[in-house]
Parts: sequence; structure tokens; C-alpha cells
Amino acid sequence: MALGKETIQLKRKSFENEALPHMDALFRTALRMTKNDKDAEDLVQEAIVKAYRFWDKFEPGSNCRAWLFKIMTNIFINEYRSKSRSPVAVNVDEIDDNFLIGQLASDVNMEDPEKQLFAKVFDDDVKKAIENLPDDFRVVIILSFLEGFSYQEIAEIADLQLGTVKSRLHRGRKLLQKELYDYAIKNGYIKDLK
Amino acid sequence: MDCQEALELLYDYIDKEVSDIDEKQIKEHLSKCKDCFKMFKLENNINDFIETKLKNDNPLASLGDLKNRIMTKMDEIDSQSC
Repeated sequence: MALGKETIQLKRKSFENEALPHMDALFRTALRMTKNDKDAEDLVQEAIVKAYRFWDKFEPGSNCRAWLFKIMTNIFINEYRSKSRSPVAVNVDEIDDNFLIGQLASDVNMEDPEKQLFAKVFDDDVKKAIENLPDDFRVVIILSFLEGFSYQEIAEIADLQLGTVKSRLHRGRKLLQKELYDYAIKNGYIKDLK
Repeated sequence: MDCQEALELLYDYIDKEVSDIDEKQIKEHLSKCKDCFKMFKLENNINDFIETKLKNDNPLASLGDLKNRIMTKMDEIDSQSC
């Protein structure tokens, strides 16, 4: 398709002003999705280049950040998901909703339980716990916790029903809590209350 | 609002996804129910903890090279469009 030089320059300028500033955010999310630098860089590059190709489809004034995350999440789900090895399958349904809460309820120090539980958990431990989540849960958790997208935005970005977003966030949180709790016990940060 | 109704909205409340009416009713319930208050506070603290840790753990990778590669790809697209 032949475009005038001026049109191309305008397109380029508006993309550089509106889309490229989101590159850092796209990268930090890509890193949590793919779990390694190399794949994260490739994913971000593929997403931004694709966004540029389709820039005329972007509605000016709408949410550019969400639009870019939708493109990237879509590529991740379709192309990268199978590449990133998932850990041993977790039967999510078997996790007791009140697992952590039940454990903490028997703790003497209810005033500030998270201080005992998590005081010694490092940033890196949380990163590992997130990375251990099955892909479906990890994606919605990252979009919510790291990027602060609303349920509705996540539904649009990940192409899910609103109810699915809510249930995955709910189960993902429980899985994360269990993971962190087990980790803290395993490393002797806290005593097993059982 | 009873305990069960409040707990069903726990994460929606933490994520600020409840309606104004629900928010008001949850707050009313929490002011009267010590158990639910504890539960909401605990979950909220865990939520803040994970969010903070996750945001702290940000790679300080220099994205300069990546940006250059992307710009080069965009140049190619521009020249194809002429």
C-alpha cells in the first residue's frame, strides 16, 4: 500500500508518542509471563511491531495501554504458552479456600499475622511463587497486581468472560498464598501451625 | 448484609470493583462483625504485601537495545509503505 511520506511520518510520530512510552510496562509483564529475558524481549518486540502495523486500527482517544497489552497477551497465549514449561499440574479445585486463613486463625498474633508470615519472604520468593502459577492464572494475576487493570479491562485484554477473570483471580490468589506459605515453612521462616 | 454475602464480595471489595451501595453495606457489616473485619484486614494486608513485593522486583534491564531493534523494524515497515 503506498502512503505519502508525510502520512507515514505522522503515523510514526503518533505511535512513538502514544505507544512506545508503554514499552517498560510491557516488558516487566512480558518477563513475568515468559519467565526469561530473551523471550520477554522477543515478545515485546513482536507485540510492538504488530501494534505498529495495525496502528490505523487503533481508535484515537481510547485506552492505548490496554490495546497494547491485548496484542501482547494474545501473542503470548497463542505462541509462547506452550514454550514456557508449566510446573507440575496443580489441581486448583482441591485447594481449600480458607487454607491460609484457617492456618492464621490459630496463630496467637492475629493483630499482625502477615508480619510473622511474610516478614522474611524476599521479593525473589514472591517472583518464584508467581512464576510457579499455571499460565492461565499467572496472566490474570500479573495484569491485576502488577499493572492494575480492572476486571473489565483484563476480560478484554485476555479475551475472557468477566466471571472467568474473577474466578481465576480468586483461585490464583489462593494458589499464591499457599505457595508462599509452604515456602515460608520449608525455609523455616515460620513454624508449621498444623 | 450477612457474613456470607460480605465474604463473597471480599476480593471485589479489595480490588475496588464493588458498587457504591455494596461498599457502604460491606463497611456497615465490618463495623459490626469482628470476624469478618479480621478476615478482610488479613486478606487486604496479604494483597498489599504481594503487590508491593511484585512491584519492587522490577528488572533494571536496559531496554535501549530492544528499543533500537524495534525502531529498525518500524523503519522497514515505513519503507514498505511508501
